[in-house]
Amino acid sequence: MHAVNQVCFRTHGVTKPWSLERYFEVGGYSSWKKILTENIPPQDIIQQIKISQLRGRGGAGFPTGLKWSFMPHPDGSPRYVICNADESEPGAFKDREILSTNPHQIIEGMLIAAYVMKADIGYFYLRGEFRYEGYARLEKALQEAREHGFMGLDILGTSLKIELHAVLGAGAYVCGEETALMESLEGKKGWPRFKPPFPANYGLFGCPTNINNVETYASIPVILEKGGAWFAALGSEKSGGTKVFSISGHVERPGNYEISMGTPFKTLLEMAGGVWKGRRLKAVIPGGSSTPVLPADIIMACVMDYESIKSAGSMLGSGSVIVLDDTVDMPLLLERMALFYYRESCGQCSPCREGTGWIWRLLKKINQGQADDADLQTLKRICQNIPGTTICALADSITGPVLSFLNHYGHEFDKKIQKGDRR
Amino acid sequence: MKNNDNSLPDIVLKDIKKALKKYPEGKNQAAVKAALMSAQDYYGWLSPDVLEKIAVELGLTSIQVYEVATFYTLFHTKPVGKNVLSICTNVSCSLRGAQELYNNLCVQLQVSSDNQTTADGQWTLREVECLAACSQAPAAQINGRYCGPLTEEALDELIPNRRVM
Repeated sequence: MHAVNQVCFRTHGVTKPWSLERYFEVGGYSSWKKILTENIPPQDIIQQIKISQLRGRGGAGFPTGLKWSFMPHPDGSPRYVICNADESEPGAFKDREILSTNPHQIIEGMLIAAYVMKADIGYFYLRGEFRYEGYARLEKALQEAREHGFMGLDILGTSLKIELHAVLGAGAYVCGEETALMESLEGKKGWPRFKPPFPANYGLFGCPTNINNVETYASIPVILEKGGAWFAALGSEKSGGTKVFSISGHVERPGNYEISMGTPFKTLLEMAGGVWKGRRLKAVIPGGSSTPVLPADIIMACVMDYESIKSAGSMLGSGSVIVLDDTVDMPLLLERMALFYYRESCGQCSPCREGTGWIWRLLKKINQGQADDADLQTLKRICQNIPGTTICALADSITGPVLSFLNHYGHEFDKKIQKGDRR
Repeated sequence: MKNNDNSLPDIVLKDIKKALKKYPEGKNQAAVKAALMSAQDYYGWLSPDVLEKIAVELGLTSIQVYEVATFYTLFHTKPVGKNVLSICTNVSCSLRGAQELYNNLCVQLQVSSDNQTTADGQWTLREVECLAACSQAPAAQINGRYCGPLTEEALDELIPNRRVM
């Protein structure tokens, strides 16, 4: 069965899907009310989330129920929940749509998270570019939630107190990394922190913090309303639920599609109208620009879930599917991808600050027809040596794609290489 | 010269107050980005003088404000034109012609590199990274508001005289 728009996009289909009235219509805030009126123990909520098989939708795919159980016992110090809405991975645009079409559901998910993990303050961290769209809508939704007694003081007549605030970033891809985001929230440069300690023990302002992606929080109210088993059954055996796939590039109808995990890639491509201009499929970057590329014959045999894409040699990541037709010059595309990581490196770790620049310059040299075999070897060596040497994964994120491009499309690089003297 | 008589405009001071309410007491530094954004709205860009005023207002050192203003791409530490046009040339957008569009526009507006402003002061052109609007490629923002897909036709309407500039 292929479920469409059952979870994060369940408000879709009307002119103002973001309104509180619409959210009530589809059952909004019923999970939150039920939790408070029936005094449901946090453990029971975590259990349902574990059963649902929900995994972090920001890209890492870590089991959400497990993550929520990592928060230490309260010791009187402040505790926080954070919603990561810094969506900046090239190819990703699902959180932006969830924010602007269903903000109340993310709020309800955050309130439930705060209740489960005994946090009384939560922050939505939105990238600065969302200021006039998602942020404005979220601020209004927060105001409505406060007026209806869903958040603030004495929530729904209980003594519970939870405050949620929306704040803006100001332009920096690296702030999507959870600890960089916390630094940024504290008003500093977005420099990732060493881990451990992990946010559950040392997070925002040095206090226990849980951080999840927009789509993850937005899935929670529906999971609790309809049951973990219901959600799990929407997906495939090991990847429960539905997922929003952002499909872009060379398709007729780029956009977000909320469908069952395990849906064949072929079906998703058809939903997006197929490859544009009647051209042939060359390759797909399946999970955002940080994930290895998969040639047409491999991706056409995949289903869209964590396991299938992983066994094909890539990652589902944030579900950001970039489609490439048969006219794409792969070395040239890779050069643009590398430039992104070079520009966005925060400069804290040398292998990233210098390495991403080396990668970009070597690719540029190849595309200019100035490179020789030795340059190609240097490129490979750099990409093999960077992983594991930096605080965060930003630099690793370009090495995987480079090696996969060389692996599958080496002949296109060879064609641009000068076959001259070799040292 | 330090100016203790803080002369940030009322509207900026109001925004700072509003931002501070979102954070625990004593966490003034957390409000720095909101303060910078508000000041930029008012002045158009962030001069060293304005950065200093924000530092004084929030009780921070100058460097704490300066390093934030220069780390994030949405802050302008140099003057910009009346309108800022940001065009994404990352993967999904370039697959649908963004790079050519951006390069052509640079020639037409006679700006040679990133962040340059047209001679008439009307437009600052910026090549930016993924705006999370890949389904509206080429994605773009004018003064922070989404305006994609940025086609040649859309540009004709936006900057009618661009081909003769």
